[in-house]
Amino acid sequence: MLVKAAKETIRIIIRRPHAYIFRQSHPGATIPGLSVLDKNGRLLGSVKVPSLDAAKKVVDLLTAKK
Amino acid sequence: MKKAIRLGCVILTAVLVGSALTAQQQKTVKLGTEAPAGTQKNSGASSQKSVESRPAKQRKVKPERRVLEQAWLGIETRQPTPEESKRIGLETRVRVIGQLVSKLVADGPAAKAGVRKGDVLLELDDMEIYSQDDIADFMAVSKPGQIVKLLLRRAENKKQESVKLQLGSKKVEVPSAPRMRWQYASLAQLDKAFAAAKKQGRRLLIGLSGAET
Repeated sequence: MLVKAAKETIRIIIRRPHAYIFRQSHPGATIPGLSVLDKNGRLLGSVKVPSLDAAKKVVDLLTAKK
Repeated sequence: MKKAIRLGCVILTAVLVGSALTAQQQKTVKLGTEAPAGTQKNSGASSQKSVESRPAKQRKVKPERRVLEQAWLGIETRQPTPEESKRIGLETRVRVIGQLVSKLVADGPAAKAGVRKGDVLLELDDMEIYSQDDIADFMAVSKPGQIVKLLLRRAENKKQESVKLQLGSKKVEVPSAPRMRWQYASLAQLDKAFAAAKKQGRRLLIGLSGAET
């Protein structure tokens, strides 16, 4: 379901230091994190990604066999 | 919408920790017969027995994997040392721009195009290269057979030179669980991504990574 929803978007990864350049033109974009822009480039929202440890726990939860 | 953002967050984290997770998984496979932390260490058959006697729930299961064809340059790179950066005259913008070619695969796409060991890769299709992850991102969103432009700082004369080459392909193993794949990488491809979003009437999901690589 998660992957399916993401497929509805155009997806781009921007790493540092370019991520910080992007943030200069889009105040509110969180690093590290995810930002969603509309087709006109307006920032709709941004979500800060937690620490790598937290992220790993989430991935473990999502991928663990039942 | 919130769901989509939440989803992307999880996926980004998966991507961000992907390599670490893989390393952990590899470790798990390698250390599969070792006693769990905090217990007395056994060796050989007894340790194997203890693993097998564990309930299925507690056993580490090797994740299913599938093989993908991915674009390939045929080089290994590393960060130039401060001395090398100074000697070669590399530009620094927040950090040094460029990755030093440390190894070339004979008859690989880069070697065929005239890239040599010691050259510094400055750009890939106008995308400034700061780290190995930048190259990996570019390869992940490129296709085998695609023509790309490399901007190099030559080791022999320190001159900048542009080289075009056709990307090769290599097989890579990835977890078979569904995962999101980025379609574009770096600020240099942002305009292309916007154009695609506009054309398709879609939103743009941007993963911003602050990880030191």
